[in-house]
Amino acid sequence: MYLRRVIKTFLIIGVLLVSGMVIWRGGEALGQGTVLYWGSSGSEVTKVQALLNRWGYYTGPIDGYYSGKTFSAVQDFQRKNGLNPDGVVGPNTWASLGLPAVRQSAYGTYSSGASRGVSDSDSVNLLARIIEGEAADESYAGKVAVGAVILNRTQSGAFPSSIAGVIYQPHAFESVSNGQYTRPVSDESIRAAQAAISGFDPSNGALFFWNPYKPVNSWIWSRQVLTQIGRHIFAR
Amino acid sequence: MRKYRWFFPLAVSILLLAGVGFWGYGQMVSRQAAETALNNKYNLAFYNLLNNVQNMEVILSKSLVGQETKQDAQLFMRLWQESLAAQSNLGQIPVTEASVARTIKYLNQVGAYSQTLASQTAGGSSKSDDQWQTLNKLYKQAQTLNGELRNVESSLASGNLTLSELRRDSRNVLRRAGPQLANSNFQVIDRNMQQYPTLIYDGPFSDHIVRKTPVGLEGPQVSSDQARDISLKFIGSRPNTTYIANVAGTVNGRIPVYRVDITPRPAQNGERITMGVSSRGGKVVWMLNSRSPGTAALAVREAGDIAGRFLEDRGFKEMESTYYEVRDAVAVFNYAATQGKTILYPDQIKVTVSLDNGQVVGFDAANYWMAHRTRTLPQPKLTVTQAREKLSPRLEDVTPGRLALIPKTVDNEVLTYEFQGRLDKDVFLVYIDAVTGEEVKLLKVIKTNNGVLTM
Repeated sequence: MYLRRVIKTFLIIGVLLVSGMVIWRGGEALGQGTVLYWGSSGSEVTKVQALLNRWGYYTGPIDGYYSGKTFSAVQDFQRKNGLNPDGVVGPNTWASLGLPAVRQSAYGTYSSGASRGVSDSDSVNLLARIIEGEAADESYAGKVAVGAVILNRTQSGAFPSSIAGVIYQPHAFESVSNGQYTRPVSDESIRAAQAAISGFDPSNGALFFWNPYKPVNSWIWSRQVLTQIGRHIFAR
Repeated sequence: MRKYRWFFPLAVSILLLAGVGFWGYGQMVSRQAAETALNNKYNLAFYNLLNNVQNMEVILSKSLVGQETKQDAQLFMRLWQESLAAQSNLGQIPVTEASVARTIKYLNQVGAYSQTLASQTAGGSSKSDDQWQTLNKLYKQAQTLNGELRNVESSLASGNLTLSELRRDSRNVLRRAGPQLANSNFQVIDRNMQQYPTLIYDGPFSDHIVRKTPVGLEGPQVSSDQARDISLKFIGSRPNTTYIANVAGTVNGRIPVYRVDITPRPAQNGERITMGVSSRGGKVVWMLNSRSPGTAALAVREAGDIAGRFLEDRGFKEMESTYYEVRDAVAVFNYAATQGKTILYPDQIKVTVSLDNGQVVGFDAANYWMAHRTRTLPQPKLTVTQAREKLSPRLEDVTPGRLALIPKTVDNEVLTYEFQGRLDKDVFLVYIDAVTGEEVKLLKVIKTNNGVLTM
């Protein structure tokens, strides 16, 4: 009796500890955008909503919030496509939506297309990754502006002169320091990187950008603010 | 009392377990952070190495065409620097020394050789025929090395490889390149080099130039209401679509602009247009359309006609198309202003055309508004024929030549004769100063399946 109770308690504690860690790490896992469920939000959800809307499953607003309407639309879609109707967008549902293939091919064009010789595909890849890491939920112009900031830095005397040098400068970009920038890159980020490399600069020569809703170093406000695009302030 | 005897071992175990769990978790987090930091360092070294080798390749190929010893001396100095930097970057990548020994040897050779040539050419004597042959060999080797590095980069970019894994993988990759690098009989390298003009051709002439004031913009300040009207007029009309414009804010900086957000009604797949309208003079400085292009249905030539008409309709007369590139389903066309028969490279405009329906989805005239004005050009002292004689005799298929104004530094523009010529498969642009006859600039044109110079 006594022994069984001890074992039971241990089991419960074990489960609690493990699930606690999973939840703890959950915040980061969500950023990878691989599994979506009721309560998820962000650009991945918008993508799913837009697709389901186009195919007639979803009639609600395309707002990036995974709520009841999205849930039942996903269930509908899963039922029609012979998937388990659990209302969770996992790997199988993503595949049926045709999105992983799209994302990979969009990326593959630039990694495999340039087999030899001089090209700027490495710059596009690096820029696209940092744009995805720092501005995945921003508008297209906001994405291009982030790319332009990195290119402006390479031209400035106060920063390293190569794109890799700027991106990997210690503590320069949060998404690099925590490894988030290695996640899959969206098609829009690649287009934004290309636009920035062709010279588009909606930031008008900015060298810094930051999100004012997050805690930032106060010295940064001493820079000359140029503009705000979405949630980022751009300054030089 | 007996009832509670189980409580103590249980409490101790829970505490122990929680403690160990907490400690273990902390260890895991710090190990992950350390690994990310380390991987970032490796990535930095690798991408810089790639950059160095890429520059080496371009400089080596330029040295094959350069005629002026003064230019050569500069090229060799840069080559020396790049090879030194490449060596130090290679040293930071986690690969065994044995596997990259040949690559290191090659980099050393280039470094030592360029150092010798740099001092020779700085002394005024030009490179000999033998030396030219050696440079040619080194150039071919640089191509091979570059190709191998680029394969590693593709695996890195697609996430198939992280650099801590490279410890294992690159051993094979670089070893494979090894025998080829050391081999003195180089097989003819037949490759269609996938290269983009932006990097080498366009870069030095236009991108991200920091000038103080836009000299091309004149006129009174415009209000945000006027800016909105200007942006709508710029977009033009499209059947069954109304555009709604909103001034989203102002952007300070080099060219102060109003940022105008424009959305079409009815909404079309993700289309949202952002435009920068200068507050002085009310000119459209740039336009970006977020629409993701569908499958390409238009030929590049048709798209080029659309871009040309687009500019003409918006009052940009006397523009000449200089080159284009195709990326996925959009084509970017570069235009430069002309004055008489002289082409003005500092005054550039880029027009992006979507190849699915021919819509203009991008416009960038920042460089144009920064620099454009009517210039007083110097009288050339050389004739075209005289300038032509300054070119390397190795260049083939040289174009007749024309007058071009190019930026040397930000505020220093030089009137030159522009020639295009070919060496093997590589195409070069050579700029000879029209007044002094000096070779001012040597550019390599990067040809791809997608983009070529259209001159």
